[in-house]
Amino acid sequence: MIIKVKLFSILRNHVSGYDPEKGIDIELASHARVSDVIHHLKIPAVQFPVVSCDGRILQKSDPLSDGNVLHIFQPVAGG
Amino acid sequence: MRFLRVDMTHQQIAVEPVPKRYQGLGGRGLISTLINDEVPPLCDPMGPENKLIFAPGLLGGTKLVNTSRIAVGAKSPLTGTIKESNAGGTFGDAAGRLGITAIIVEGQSRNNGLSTLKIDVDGIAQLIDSEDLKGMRTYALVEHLFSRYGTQNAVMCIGPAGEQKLRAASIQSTDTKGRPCRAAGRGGLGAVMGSKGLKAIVLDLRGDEADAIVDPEGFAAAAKAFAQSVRSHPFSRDVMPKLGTAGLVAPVNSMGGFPSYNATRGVFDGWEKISGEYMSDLLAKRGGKTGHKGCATCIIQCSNEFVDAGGKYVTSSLEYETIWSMGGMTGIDDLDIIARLDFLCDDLGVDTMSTGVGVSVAMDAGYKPFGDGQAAIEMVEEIAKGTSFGKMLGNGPEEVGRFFNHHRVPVVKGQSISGYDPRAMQGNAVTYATSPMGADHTAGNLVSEYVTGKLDPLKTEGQVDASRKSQIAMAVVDSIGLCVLASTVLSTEQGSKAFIAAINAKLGLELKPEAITEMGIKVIKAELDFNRRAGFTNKDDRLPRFFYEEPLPPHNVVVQISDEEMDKTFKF
Repeated sequence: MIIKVKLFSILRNHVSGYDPEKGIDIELASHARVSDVIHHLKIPAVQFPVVSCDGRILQKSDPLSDGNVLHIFQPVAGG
Repeated sequence: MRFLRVDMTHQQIAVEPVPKRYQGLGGRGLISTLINDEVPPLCDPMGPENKLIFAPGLLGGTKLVNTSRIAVGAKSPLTGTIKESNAGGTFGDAAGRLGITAIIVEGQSRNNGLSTLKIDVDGIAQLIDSEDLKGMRTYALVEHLFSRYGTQNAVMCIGPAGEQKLRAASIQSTDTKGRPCRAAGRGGLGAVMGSKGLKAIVLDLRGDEADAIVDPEGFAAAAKAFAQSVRSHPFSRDVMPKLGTAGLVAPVNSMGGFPSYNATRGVFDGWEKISGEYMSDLLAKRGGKTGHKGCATCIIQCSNEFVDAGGKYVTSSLEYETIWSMGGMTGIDDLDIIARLDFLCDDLGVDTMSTGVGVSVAMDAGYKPFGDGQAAIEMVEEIAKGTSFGKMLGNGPEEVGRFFNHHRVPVVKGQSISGYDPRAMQGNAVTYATSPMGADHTAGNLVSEYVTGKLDPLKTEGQVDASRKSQIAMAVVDSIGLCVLASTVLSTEQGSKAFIAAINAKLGLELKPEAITEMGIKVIKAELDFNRRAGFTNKDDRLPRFFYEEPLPPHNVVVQISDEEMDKTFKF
């Protein structure tokens, strides 16, 4: 399946030549989960990636569906 | 360790040692206790009985990083409640290093006189007649004050909005480059300063008489550990230096909680064009700056210097809340317009949040179309001109809603909400409704709980408890003088331990975490007591009806926390 990913903050550095307007498309095996995307992009745990889809924060074990648009950012607090 | 009591009626200043009752207090905790003790709750906020208090945090002026906040408080003319609002810059640290525990401004100048309070390097204070400064905008004012008194000063001041006693007027604070771009923006405290006849406080930055630390070695060790925590947290290590608070635009829109078009939608169409990422790229191209140090003792450096296409300075620092209020709420997706509006508000001395929300209420009522940036600039300029429209806008969104007979006015106790919709973040609904100071994110923002998945923002379960816990923690943070952006490390074991160790070393105590929590509860109790005696009841702890009746896309939810649940928040 194909997943569209949009990256934010310094996580954009994990994709060479990242285009913030387009994001990137990732092809994953069926039954892939959120953790597979993190693994695919080689985002280290120390950067604490947070993944959202359709306005909801996802857990690493949540399943994905073809055509999902994911936003991946880092933890934030009020400012 | 002393109070400076500034009697504006008789133009006299008294210096007094801090009474025992107030020792060990700082910032918001000191201010709330003093106001509750000394200000008649039913007084006119802009009359002589009100008191305007400036207080560095308990650890202001020490080597603990990110503790340079200056707290300002009074009975608020905007909310009618007790109010504390704090600002960054250099004033809080400098006041702490001069051994000033609080500056208490009392009375009211006669015959609309205007003064500047000048405090020199030895802590000697004097009031100086400042009739010649009447009507000055803050950037020109500060330039004038620096030319007169030297650049080795911190300044807190008001602009035309404060002099006009507009209820959304701010008190501006100078940053590390001497620009009046930091603000105690909330609660209309600039109007209180204006009502006293005080245009500015000029404070020497070179003071070296900070209060003694009981255990200096223990303090140094705690300060080092705390700094390490700040440097290792992904929020303060990665997001803030690169993007500043504008880094919240993407996560909050991704969660559907970014109040847009006067809180009718939770995702703004053009949010990627006003995001922290977009701004960071734009400023890199133009020669502007992110990762700027705006405040003394700061190691996070979340500030930015926004420049125009020609590389010329426009404003500093363009923050999330302003991008939200002047962008998402008004439908303006142009950072250059938003930056111009931010500068205007700082220069006039008016809260960017209340003003942006006021503009959005006017647009929603049909006065001008959403997204009309030029119209927004013209509306804010009306404040400087002193026109009827300007006075109405400068008095905050509730006044705007009343003028247009418009029902959708996102305020609680007269103060606008912040950039987190209470329908998409139910716990923030609790904070907005129950904070003793009207709607405000800094009272207890739960966005980090939601982002990290600790709490579901759309469910009612756990929201009241989480809000209570956060509000108590923030009462402590604001009393210590710690920046909210550094306070995120209090959620870590190392950060929390170091923070408590620093307080203990400063005071020579061995307080346990429960005692620190008790400190926060005590502050809130003083604030609630004042409000109760001012006539507020739990019926005032409610959001406007539209938040309960108009579902917010994309989640299409309303506030679901019942009144009974709201009332449990502060049943201590």
